Amino acid sequence: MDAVTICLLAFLALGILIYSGMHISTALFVTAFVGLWWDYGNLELVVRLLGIAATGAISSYEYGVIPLFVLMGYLVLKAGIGADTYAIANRVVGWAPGGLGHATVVANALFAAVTGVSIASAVLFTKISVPEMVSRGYSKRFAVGVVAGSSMLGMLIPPSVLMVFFAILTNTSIGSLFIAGIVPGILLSLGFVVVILFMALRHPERFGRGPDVQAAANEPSSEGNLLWRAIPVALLIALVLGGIYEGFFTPTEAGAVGAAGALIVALVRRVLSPRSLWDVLLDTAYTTASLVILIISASMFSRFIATAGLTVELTEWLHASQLGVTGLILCYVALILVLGAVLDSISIMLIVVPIFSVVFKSYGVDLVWIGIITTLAIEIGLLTPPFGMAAFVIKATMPQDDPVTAKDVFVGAAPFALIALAVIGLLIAFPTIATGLVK
Amino acid sequence: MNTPRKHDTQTGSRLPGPASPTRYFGYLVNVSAVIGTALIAVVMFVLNADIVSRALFSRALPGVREIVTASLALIVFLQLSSALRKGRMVRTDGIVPVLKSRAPVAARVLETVQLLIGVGMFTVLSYATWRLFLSAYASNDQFGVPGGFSFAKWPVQAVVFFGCVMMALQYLTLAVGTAMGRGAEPRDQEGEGGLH
Repeated sequence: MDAVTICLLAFLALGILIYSGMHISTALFVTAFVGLWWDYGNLELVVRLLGIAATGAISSYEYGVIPLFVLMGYLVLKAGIGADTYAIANRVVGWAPGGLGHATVVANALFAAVTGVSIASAVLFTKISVPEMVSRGYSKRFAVGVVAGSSMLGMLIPPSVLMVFFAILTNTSIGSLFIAGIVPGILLSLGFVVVILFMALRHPERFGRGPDVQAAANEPSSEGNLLWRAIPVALLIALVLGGIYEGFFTPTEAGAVGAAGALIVALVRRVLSPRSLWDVLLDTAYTTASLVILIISASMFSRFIATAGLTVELTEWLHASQLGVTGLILCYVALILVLGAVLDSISIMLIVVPIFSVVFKSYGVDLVWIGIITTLAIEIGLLTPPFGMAAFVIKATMPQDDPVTAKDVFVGAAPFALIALAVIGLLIAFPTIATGLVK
Repeated sequence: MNTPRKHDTQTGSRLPGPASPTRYFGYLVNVSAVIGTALIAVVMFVLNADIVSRALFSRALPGVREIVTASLALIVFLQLSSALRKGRMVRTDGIVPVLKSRAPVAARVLETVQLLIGVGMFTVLSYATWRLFLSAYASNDQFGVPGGFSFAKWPVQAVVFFGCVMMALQYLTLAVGTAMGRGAEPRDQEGEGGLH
């Protein structure tokens, strides 16, 4: 069998294993193991390669970024900063037509800048903003759709776990990727705001009694109180993103500073008992362990792909096919979107990126740019049936007496998925949107 | 995410027999998880102390990079078996929920086979990391630069090996449990894996 056949079989096997519910890391391990054994025919050598991958993959200071940003994310949640962002956003943009929708988008954008995972945002804002929208007469489909749609911002706006994965898999700078995500994130938020405004003006009946400024003004939070809630958010964003952008901190240090900052906020607000702090640390440790073992197993898998020669063949074939960079990127995005319908974001990243990053490198393409496109394309998969994660998380988070179907979420989120596609188009046409800020 | 998590040691009580080996194994998993967890706080503290020291005294603390790098290996491999036990390994739901309701026996067989493959893989990794430990011990490789701040690599390699062995055993425990129908591997709430 030639290299391409072997690799295609390996991908097929991997897909089946992941889909049958096997732990993704084990699926990657076993496919890589069997594949490498086939390639080399020397078990001793394969075992040695696996051992080196297991320890080599973690002998890097950069990986420290994972536990620290995960910790920061959990502490930020505990400190109630998510609710703060919603209160602030509501005050700033809540007056516009479709105001609570705008507030959800802006709050997600702010929250995304202090946390690295978008499922966390989906859970949080299903609890905070969906009930409020529904009680003010917004269509429920819109309410869950906007939460699902804006949860995409969680990964696009740094810090972002997906970007860390991309950076590690491709040997790109984590800091550069983070910086490159800022403008596309703002652009995506603006796109969401515009589409909500458009919907609210066209179908005011789906947006309840219109802007409810009165109720917002009657909320117990006075101006001073709101300012008090805004300061921690502003400080954390300035410390983490500003620190990385200005080069004061490495991403790892920025994670440590952000985690310490969130810890101080939580302590000052007296919302963290020693016990719940320990639980947060425990959650962080579990998440870290499961993420890093994924990276280790993915590095073995990409080792196998490289050994089998698929990347070389694919690169030669693509160069021979006269497909330009734009055509290649379009195919790449299409592939991710198709995979997004059946696999979760991490699996897609682990399968696609190791191969294509080599191809892109051979074209001399800036991988930071590709990283942002990849992240956004993968996030769209969260919103597409049949396996869009965001839909199921929102469905599971909604109260029993007020259920939504996954279809409600998919339909409600469709306009936001289209906006995200449009932003990908802009990114492909104008790479500076992503790379402009990177020094 | 705000639901209180059961304390680690309580999980031990779910295990059979007051003094059975699985129970002691459970304690071992928990103790190593506690150390791994505490190390995260240490890493955060060390990095912040370094930044403060640089800002106030224009002086970097020695060995921060090396401590962070080594700690990450320790955190991961000390915590891994506990993460597996708590159902925190990342997986896609795929066909399992449907299969469970329509063909429970087939689902059990499938899960058992999957867990046994996990046993196999981590047995291989245990062997591989054991060899690496031996060579690190023999050559006395160091983190950091010779003459500067440095410490031996072999204790970290030993923990990596230990973590792999614990994983193989934990997979085996789960496989046996699933095969005997003693409640399958716990599945965590969606989103607790917190990846997206």
